[in-house]
Amino acid sequence: MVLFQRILNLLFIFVLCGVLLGGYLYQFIESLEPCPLCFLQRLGMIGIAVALMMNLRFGIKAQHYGLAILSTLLGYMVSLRQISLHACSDFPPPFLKAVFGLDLYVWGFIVFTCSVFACAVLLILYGCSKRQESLSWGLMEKCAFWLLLLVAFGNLINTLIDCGLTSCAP
Amino acid sequence: MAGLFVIYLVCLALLLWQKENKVFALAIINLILCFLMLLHHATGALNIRL
Repeated sequence: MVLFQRILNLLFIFVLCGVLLGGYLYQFIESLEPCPLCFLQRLGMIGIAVALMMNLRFGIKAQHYGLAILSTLLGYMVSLRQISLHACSDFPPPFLKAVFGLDLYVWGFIVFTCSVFACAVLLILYGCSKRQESLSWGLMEKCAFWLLLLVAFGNLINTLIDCGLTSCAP
Repeated sequence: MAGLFVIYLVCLALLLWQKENKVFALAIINLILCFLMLLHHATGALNIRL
């Protein structure tokens, strides 16, 4: 059961990295500049991935899932704020092109909704398991770690280029 | 904003050195800063619209 949870955690990290890389590639393909709220949503996703990586490094613990849920809450609030901004009629229309009929911040909202659901399932599995796990990292764990590091570093460079050392105020 | 990404990078570096408490504390601090940044954005937008 613990091995199954570790695999699910790993899969979850790869999905989040995939979403972040997808957004990143989309930004370059379409030559778009991400907004401050987009950066905050990316921070929420990286926060979830860091919390799940703690599970893989230090053993599966409820407080790590708590951290992941808090990061999900942050991303949730940010994407809701962005949706509500664009839902207002007197606010400028969305500046991003739609992906499969939905804007990127709506996809962000869907990702965070799925994340909180996944965290709940993983917490239920955690409650059912006996705690005996090896903390050594295999190849896939190392790949997930370096991929996450790469994504976080790429976003840092992107933020520095777009906002410099400022707070990216609206 | 870039500082928030730097803190997560530091978290990942500390993860390699197995400093669990420090990673946890830094991640919580970063989350609080992110929430403050959201608040800053919300109030900034409010000022523009007023």
